[in-house]
Parts: sequence; C-alpha cells; structure tokens
Amino acid sequence: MTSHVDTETLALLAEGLLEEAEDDSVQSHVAECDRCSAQVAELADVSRVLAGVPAPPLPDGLIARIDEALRIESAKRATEQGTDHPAPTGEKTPTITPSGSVVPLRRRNGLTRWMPYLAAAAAAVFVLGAGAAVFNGVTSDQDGTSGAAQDNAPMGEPEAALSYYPVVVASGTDYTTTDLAEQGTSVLERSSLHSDDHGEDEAGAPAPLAANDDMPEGVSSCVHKLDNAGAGDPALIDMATFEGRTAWVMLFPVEDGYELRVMKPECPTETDPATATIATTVIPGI
Amino acid sequence: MNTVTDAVQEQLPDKELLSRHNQGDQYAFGEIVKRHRERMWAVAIRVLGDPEEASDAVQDAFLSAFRAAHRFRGEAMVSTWLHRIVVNACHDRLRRKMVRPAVPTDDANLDILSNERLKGTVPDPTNRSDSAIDVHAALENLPTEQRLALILVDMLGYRVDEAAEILDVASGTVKSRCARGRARLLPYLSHLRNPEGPADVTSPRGGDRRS
Repeated sequence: MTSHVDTETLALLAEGLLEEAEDDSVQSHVAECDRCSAQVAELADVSRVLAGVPAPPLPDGLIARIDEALRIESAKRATEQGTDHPAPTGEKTPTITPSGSVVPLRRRNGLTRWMPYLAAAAAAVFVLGAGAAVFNGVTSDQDGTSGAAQDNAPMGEPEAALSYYPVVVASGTDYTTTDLAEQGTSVLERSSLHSDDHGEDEAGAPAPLAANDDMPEGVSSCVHKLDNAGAGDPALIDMATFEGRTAWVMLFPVEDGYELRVMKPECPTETDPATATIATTVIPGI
Repeated sequence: MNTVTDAVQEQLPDKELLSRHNQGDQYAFGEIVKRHRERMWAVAIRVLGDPEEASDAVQDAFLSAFRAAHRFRGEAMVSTWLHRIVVNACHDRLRRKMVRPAVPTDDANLDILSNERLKGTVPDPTNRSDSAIDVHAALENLPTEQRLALILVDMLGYRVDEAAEILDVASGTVKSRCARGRARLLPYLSHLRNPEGPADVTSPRGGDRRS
C-alpha cells in the first residue's frame, strides 16, 4: 500500500466505524506505516488533552442567583395556582434574566397567543382542517394546571421540554413545489407570529390560524435532529401536506425572513435530517 | 431557596422530587438543583467557555426545567433530561453568538478572542489554565454537533450511550462525531500534545551541497 490514510479515516478506524473491507486495508497499512501509526497515537492524545482540561469551579454567585431566580418563579407559580385562568399571568410576568432565544419566542407567543382565541370567539365558526385539535390547543395553555392538550401531547420523551415554544398550526394547506414560497408566506401571515398587525376588520382577510400547542408524536424529535444539524429552532410548524402527502412544514428564522423546510413524517427515524427534507425555500419576513 | 434541609427529602430519588415539585412542593426542586448544578455548570462552561454566559445558561436551564417539569414523564433519567435542557440552553447562546457579525475563525484571532473574553470577568481563583483557553479556542473550530459530542464524551467522560441519549442521536452518530471532531482538532492541539514544542522542520538543506 502506498498512499497514506487521512486523519479522519484514522479517527473513524479507532472508533471501529469503518466498513469491514476498508477497516482491513487501513489496518494493514497502519501496521507498516510509521507516519500513520503516529497519527493514530496523536488522535488518542487529543482525547487525553481534552480529558485533562481542569474543571473550573462553580462561580461564587451562581448558587445564590439560581436560588433567587427559582424563588421568584416559585412565587409566580403559587400566584398562578390560585387562579382559575392561569395562562395570561404566566405570559405577562417578566422573565428574571434575559434567557436565551427562549425569551423572545415565548414573548412573541405570549403577545399573540390570545388573538386567535378572541377571533374564534367572535366568529364562532372556525374553518380549519384540524378543528378539534386546534380548539384544544387554544383552550388549554402551556401551563401545567390545565388538562386536555397536555395528555395528548407527545410527552413520552424528555425532549418535550424544548427550551422554546414554536407556534404549531394546522393550516390545511397542500403545499406544492411551484407555490411553496407563496403558500409559506400565506400561512405565516395568518399565524400568530404575524397576527399583531392583522386588522380584524380587514375585508376578505383570511381567517387567522390558531396556535396549537399539541405537537404530534415525533415532531419534537425531528426538531431536535434538525437543530443538531445546525438548522436552528423553527418559529412555526404547520402540520400540513405536500403534494398530497402528510408533511411538516417548518419555518426557521433567518436574516430578513424564514427558511421553509418541508419534512417527511419519517423524519424522527431518519439518521440524517437532510434525507427527511422534501423541499426547502426561503420566504421574506413580514 | 431551601435553607431548611429536609433529611427525608435528601434521600428521595430525583423522580420522586420532581413529582413532588409538580404537586406543589416548593422545596423539592431546590434539592434537584443542589444535586445537579455542578454537572450543569461543567457542561455549560465547556460549551460556552465564558463564565458569565455559562452562568446564564445554567440559570436558564433550571428555570426551563422548573417550568417544564410537568412534562417530564419519567422514561429517561432526570439527569439526562436536565442535561438536554442545559445543552439546548447553551446551543441557543452559541447560535446567537454565531448570528453576530464578524466572528473570526482563524487561530490568531481566536486566541485573542478567548483571552479578551476572560478579561473583565471575575478572576477565577484556580485560574483557567492556558491549556483550557487553548482547548476552548480550538473547539470553536468544530461544527457545534462535533463539539458537543467531544465535550460530553472526551472532556466530561460520559459514556457514548449516555451522550447519545442527551443529544438525542444514535450511539454510532456520537462516535462518528467524536472521531471527526478529534481529526479536525488534531492540528490545533499539537502544541499541547508536545509540550517541548514542535520539532524543527527547517533542517539546513544546504548542508550537503557542494559548490
């Protein structure tokens, strides 16, 4: 064997991740090549260097800070439990610290969350594909004290504790390759992400879409996969169809708009989220 | 928040504490925090490098967990669940950092960056060693998913299957992320592997030449 093996292949070899044939040939090369066997040793050293980095101690103020934040949260919770209608208080209470992208999304959600509810109450009729599910989502908020939606939600996995709350809708749209961007924009416009400047008396305006806090089984693990692959967290998820087949359409905030991804429902079982992506496009922000 | 320590409470398993929290016990969550804050901190400081950011992330994570506790159904360990939450909180912060313009990616700038970042923060009594700073700067060259896998497995010593559960991917995926991460990290860490310094490669070539 003449050519040397690249570092990545050597690292994969060390983890036993090469296919059998490749594994054999690389191993026999390493056995007789000083340079490559030295690299294998260096790779083991990388792990050793990483393991040897000293652990910085917990900063002095942190324990008190966490306790204080939780004390406030706890007091807030006690107040909420005293009321029959828990949701609005929970949303309005200021968050203790600027906390991650968690806050902007929650806040945005909070501001707009009741819009669809009000609209629904006024209109009394809701022409939507998933009426019952949507109504559940509207009447029971994310607060733990109210019932139905919670029980249906995919709580089996701890990942259900996403650190942010995407708006989930069922717009009934059948997305198509040709109209993808327009359809995405239309759903975005009707969602609560946008409803704050949506004139209620606007003639002929499409019905606003209700936020639905129920995420069907698998969606959150799909979101995690995408997140791990660097896609970020979706701001909006539409439980819809794409050219007649069930699909999850997710909108990820990017600069000046959203990246729209159409995901197959097989997403949770695919190793690579890229293969579960049916189509993508970019739509302008509003 | 929990000054009166309850001897009974201290012996309860995490899951029992969490369900007491969900039933309104106002001290139960404090005990969970006490048990897990060191680990949460260890993860956050390694992912984020900056003590302030890491502190914020840990606080965010515990708040998220406090609020989302009713959604914990008990299939996983509480510790795994908390790890996921803190990893998510760190991930959010990393992403926001990446969105900011002009993130330098070459080595020289990274060194300056990590040094500057430590300036103006509370001096660490043990002094984060130069190697810790170098390692963190080197890790910044990796894609986030490789970095997270290496931090959990190589730096913090989690088993591959534990890391896989925390990251919600297959064990094989964790292994390959670690392997690729190590390969990518190798050139950045060579000076740490050989403390005596790299061998002098500029040997006098002209020596053999006769004129």
